[in-house]
Amino acid sequence: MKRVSTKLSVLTFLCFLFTNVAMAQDITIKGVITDVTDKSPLPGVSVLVKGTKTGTTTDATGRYAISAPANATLIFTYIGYIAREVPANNQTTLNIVLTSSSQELDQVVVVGYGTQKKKDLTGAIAQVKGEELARQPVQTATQALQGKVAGVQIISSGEPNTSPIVRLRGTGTLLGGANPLYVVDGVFTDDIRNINNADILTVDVLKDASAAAIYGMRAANGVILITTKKGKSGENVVTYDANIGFREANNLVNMAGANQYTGYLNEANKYYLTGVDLITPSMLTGANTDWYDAILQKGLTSSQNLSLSGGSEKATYFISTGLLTDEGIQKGNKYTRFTLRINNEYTLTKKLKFSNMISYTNGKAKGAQLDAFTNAYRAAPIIASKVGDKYGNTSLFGNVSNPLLSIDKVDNTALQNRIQGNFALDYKPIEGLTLRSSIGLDLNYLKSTDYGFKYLPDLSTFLQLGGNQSRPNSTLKLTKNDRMSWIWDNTATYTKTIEKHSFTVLAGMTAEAFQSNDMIGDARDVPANKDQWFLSAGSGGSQSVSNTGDKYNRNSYLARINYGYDNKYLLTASYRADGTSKFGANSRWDYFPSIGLGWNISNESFMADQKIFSNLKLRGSYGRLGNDNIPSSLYISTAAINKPYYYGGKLDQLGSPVLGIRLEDIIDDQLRWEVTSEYDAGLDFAFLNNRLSGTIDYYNKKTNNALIFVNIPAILGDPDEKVLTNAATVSNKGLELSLTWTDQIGEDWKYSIGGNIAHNKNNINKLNGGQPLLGDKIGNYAITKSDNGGPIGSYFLLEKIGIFQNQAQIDASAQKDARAGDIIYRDLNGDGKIDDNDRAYFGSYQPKYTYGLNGSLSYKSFDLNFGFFGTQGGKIYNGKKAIRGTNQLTDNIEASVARDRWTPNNPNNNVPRATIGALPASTYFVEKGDYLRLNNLTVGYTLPKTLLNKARIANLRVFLTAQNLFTITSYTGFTPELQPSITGAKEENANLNQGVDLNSYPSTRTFAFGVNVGF
Amino acid sequence: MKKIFYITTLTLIASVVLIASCKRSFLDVPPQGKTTEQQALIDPDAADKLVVGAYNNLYLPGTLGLKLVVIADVTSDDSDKGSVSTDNGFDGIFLDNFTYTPNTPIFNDFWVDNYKGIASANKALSVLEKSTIDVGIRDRLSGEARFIRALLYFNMVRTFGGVVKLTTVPTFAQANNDEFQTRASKDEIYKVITDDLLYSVANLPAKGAAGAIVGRASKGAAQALLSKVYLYQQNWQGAYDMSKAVMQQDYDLAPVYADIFREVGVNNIESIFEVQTGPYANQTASGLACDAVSKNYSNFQGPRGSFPTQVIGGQTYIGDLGFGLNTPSANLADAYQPGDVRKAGTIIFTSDVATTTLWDGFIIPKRPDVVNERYNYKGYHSPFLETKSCLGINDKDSKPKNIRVIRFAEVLLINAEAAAHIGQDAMTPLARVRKRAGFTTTTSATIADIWKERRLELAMEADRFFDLVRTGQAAAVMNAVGKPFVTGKHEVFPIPQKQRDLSGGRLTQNNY
Repeated sequence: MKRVSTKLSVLTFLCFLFTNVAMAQDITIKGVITDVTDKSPLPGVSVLVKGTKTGTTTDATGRYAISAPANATLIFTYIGYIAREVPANNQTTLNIVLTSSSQELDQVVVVGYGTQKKKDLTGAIAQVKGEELARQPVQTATQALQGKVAGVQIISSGEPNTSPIVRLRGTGTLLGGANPLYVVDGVFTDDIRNINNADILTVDVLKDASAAAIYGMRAANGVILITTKKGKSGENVVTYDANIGFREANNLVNMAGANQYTGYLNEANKYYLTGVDLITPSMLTGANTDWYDAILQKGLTSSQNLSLSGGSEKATYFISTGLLTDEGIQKGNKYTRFTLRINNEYTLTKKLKFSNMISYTNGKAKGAQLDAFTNAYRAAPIIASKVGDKYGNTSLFGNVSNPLLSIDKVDNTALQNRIQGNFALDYKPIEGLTLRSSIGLDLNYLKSTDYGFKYLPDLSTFLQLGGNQSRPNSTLKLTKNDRMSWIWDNTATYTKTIEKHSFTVLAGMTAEAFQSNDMIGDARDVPANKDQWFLSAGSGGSQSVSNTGDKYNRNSYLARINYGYDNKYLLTASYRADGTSKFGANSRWDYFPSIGLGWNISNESFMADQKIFSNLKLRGSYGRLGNDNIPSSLYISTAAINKPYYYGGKLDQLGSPVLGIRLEDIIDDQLRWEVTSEYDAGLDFAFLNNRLSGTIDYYNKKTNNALIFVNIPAILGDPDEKVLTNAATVSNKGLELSLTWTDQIGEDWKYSIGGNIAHNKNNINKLNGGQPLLGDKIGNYAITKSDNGGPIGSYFLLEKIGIFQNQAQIDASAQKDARAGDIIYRDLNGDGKIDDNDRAYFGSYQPKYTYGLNGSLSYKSFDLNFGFFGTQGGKIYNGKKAIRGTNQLTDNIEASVARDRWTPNNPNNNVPRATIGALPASTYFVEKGDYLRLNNLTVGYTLPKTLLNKARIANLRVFLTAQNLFTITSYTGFTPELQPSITGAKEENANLNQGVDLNSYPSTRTFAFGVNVGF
Repeated sequence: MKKIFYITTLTLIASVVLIASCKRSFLDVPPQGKTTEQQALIDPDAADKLVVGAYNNLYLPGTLGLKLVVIADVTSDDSDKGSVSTDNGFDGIFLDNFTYTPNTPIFNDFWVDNYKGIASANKALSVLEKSTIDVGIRDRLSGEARFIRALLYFNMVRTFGGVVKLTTVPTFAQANNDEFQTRASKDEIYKVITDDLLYSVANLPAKGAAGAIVGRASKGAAQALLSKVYLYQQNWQGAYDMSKAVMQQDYDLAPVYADIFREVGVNNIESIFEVQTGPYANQTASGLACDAVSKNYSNFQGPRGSFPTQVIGGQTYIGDLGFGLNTPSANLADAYQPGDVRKAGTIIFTSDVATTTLWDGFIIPKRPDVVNERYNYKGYHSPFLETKSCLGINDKDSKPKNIRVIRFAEVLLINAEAAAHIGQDAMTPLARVRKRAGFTTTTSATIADIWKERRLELAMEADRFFDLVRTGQAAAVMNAVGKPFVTGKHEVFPIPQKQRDLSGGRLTQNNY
């Protein structure tokens, strides 16, 4: 925050004159004290002449002046910063930069229904400051969180307006609902894409049960608390931040060009089928299309934020607006978001306070065509993408749609209006007691218009007649998704300190309701003119509407006690009772207790004389956490209605069919909560006068009765052949370490470097009924098999042990039908044939280690920040390569596969000969998923104040930033960061299939230039 | 001070109690926009609707639709995979060449869809058992459900041999019992089929009788299917008697062979059981869906290529007719004798010198604009002159094409074959079939003659492969056309690996 108060600086100046006259025998030393990272002036820093009682503090602009002997040493101390001693050495100006101590013991963290000082915590909570997030040109705060907190894995996508996947301490559930709970100013949500990063004050990550259990029913995946900024009385501050840049694809996969493609397919076909050339010279038109080139663009990204804040003793305000533009890398893809936030606080009487924190978001998305990426991967390079205004006819050649045409012939727009806010009344009837009632609201309205233009497979659209890519009737689809939820919290907090005992007791109840209404309307033959895009403009009888909805309620009671003795011994105990309408009456309620203990060893008297530790604290906790994050009412058997069958005569005389029903959905009426119990032991420490600080945590999390969709035999007749039931136990054990070193060299160089690393071991301990879970298939083969004793989504495959080089090898093998160049699979059971019994486990996507490295460095007015993130030990199944053979045989291949394929002239043991059909699922497709990525690199320069003062600008910083600058990985796909697959995978299987990479959305990098201005 | 404290505390407690007292209703939220099973069964027509729901399964591609066609026709000597060489044709490429494996998806699709049908028939039967509706209606509905179950089991047993026997509705927990996870023997499955059909014969009304509704399973349908089942069991007397019983009812051969497979032939005098389709549109989350058709049944065997846009009677049709799969083989085309009207009724012949005009005026361009030399005429559904898809003329996926499951000509041939075995009159029924085909004289009615007639009469109607296996001709016939059929292996297809995995290996594999 940049601020200026002219009044105060004049006063200080007068003071300075006065002191100067009064103590003429000493010299006057003056200067400005600023923060190392954001260069903001620090008010209230105490300045002391060493060995005396002479001292002062800095004013609101961070200035000080003090009279001291010319050889004096000045001591600068400030809460939350590392103290510095600087000898004056006859200088009259000492501008000091202070570095914040990473171990900010007095830092206040948000703990859910309250706050606590970090030194009093018994649980594992990590806090990230808003400034650190706002620095990065990303839409969602969680994207910027990557690498900053040990044990938090963030997986973001290159597509604009996509929610990043967040995994806290591993995946604790097999179902879709593995994302943490977000609490934005008290409002529960699972989507924070509406929150402007510039409005965020802090993000607190509740990692262990002691911290999270107060959110009982939804805390099993961890809780992320987002607190937005408020105004401060007395200061009127205006800030303006802006950046502009572009986003481009990186790590593109090279696909084969026309020659390579033709050669590969013809060679493959010699081994198969009729043996003739698949691609004959007559099919070659001279085109050599790079389909990714054809559909990609460089996207513009920009964001601007303007905020006003301030207030009086009676009321404070924080008003902020933001405008974000994010063009994707696919032609036509664009997202814009306008945000407005008003956070006010009114002190009505001494005892009564009212506050509101409201945000409004307006988003507009021109959607990307996701199948265009898949089709760009598949489309043959020998077909032109577009010549003049005519498109190459890929479907005529090989049944893949021309992706460029698919993009050009649709117009999809989604509009979102969302209001999220919280109104609270705080009443303090007596000293120490706060009664709080708050109502949170989340109103979210989404309207999408998807229009498909009419085009025929004729010569007005295509270069060649025919094929099956066409849209004979224009289509219009209107979607309206209305979401409404409210949450009402009533809490009482009582704080009391009696001598060395301090207590905080919390009790409360909450009620929560959610309702949604989704309407989809379709029509055909709506004219292409945008003004007519209404369902009624379609041809008669072509309209249809479908309408569905959802509703669920929750009700909870909670209590917590924090007890501390002499700042040494700490206890936190919490209890929450949760009821949810999502389960049947018998299994509706569950109870979530937790206990945490802490010992501030460094506060013990026996530690008083030691110089090694500046801080040392031991923590331990246990708690139960729940997860009801599944669709509503799955325990109730419902009927499939409107199943038609025609009776009664000739087709042309038919009226309506008879509508039947089916009772086919198999359900588990005993469905109940997923309950996670978690142990955590932690050590917080700081050495060398807080220069080196860190935290170690060990945790052991176990989810009992994990909900899973169990694949069931077809004989039950279930339409999707699976049933949701509590049939698994999943455990995550891990170790987290984070270290921060902060120091400065001389006056000009300041630096801070922080690293964190987390190890997690994911394991399925028990599957009821002993039935392993099979992941989705590629072609004929289920790729993953999740079973007892292994991590979720383990690959279950044949093992590739080489490539047949000659007939002799084949004769000696279990693959008598093979030919030279084929993959040799291990005949695991030695029965002389290769089949499913030869499959074994070969790792999973779950990384063994995740790590981050963050640093900042400043030299005079220049600053540099960087953040790395990496994972180690995960494996990826390159599904795109594997799926090729199951699609049309004319699909393109990756250039490296075509180039390195086995031929008699290029014998090798890596890439098999040219093939057309699907290869069995084997380790041939498994690759290392390790990567190290430079998430963000920012270089900034703060303009000298002398220049700015004339323009009445308090401070001005310009910066260059690069997001996702490079990724070091051996993975050959688009990105080793896999969001659950865009194509194919069903949502509920996302965790089983996460490592199977079918995603063809290229990852992106962003370069941007920006300014921060404070008035 | 204290007063305020107490008041506030009391208010808080009061509000907590208030919410707590109404928590029961607050947390009782019924499913939104869905009919629960309980609500569905309150409906007095529930039993009838459940049987309709069971019939609805006959639209699935894996019951009587295109997957059955791939298994029974493409595998056989009658038909080739078709389309372009790079098209795998719903796995037809593997079945045509005998390179399929237990993992070839079509087997799982077929297994799944048939058990969907069987399970919904079972569910309907379990509700009917407890139902208090009129006994006559109850027994008729039970007869229909059992007919559907028998029909699906018959296709299952012919495809896989013994399969899981399921005639009840096991709970989710019971389903894991060995009883439901292991294969019953082929004979046990046949026992289920014959029991079901005997029940249907006893309880279904005959065609035209009181209570009979066109399109529903009738006594005649059950008898016709049972006579065919007996043929597979070599119960010649049974087959003879049952076919005779059908012949005594209101069925006859349609005068024009080609008309049987067009809309004019829907539910005609020759029809005994067919899948009844229509242009009904269901409103789903993804728009209108044609839910009363066998998806892609006509489309997948429609002529393929680069076709010009055609306008007939003011209606514009764009592009080709389908995927061009399941094309009649040259061997089949050559099997017809001169003068056999069935050849032109079964096969669309294309030409590399001239266009081909279909019965409705549709013009197929010459090769290579049209890809294959022959197409299945029986699968053709006119875009111009027959009922359109619920999504309009240019939606090829959802043409309402009825699938002829069993018709009177086959009953005559069953009767002839059974008669030949038991020394009864085979000549008359055989001659009746041949006469319509254009042959006025029939001089011989040997088993071989009847088999040959079956092939030509029923070509491309998803029967040939099973018939070759039944008659023991499979190896000889297939090998003669270059198909590597191995006796003792290829008579049945592999049990889908996925289902074997789900059974924990308790489902045994055939010889694969």
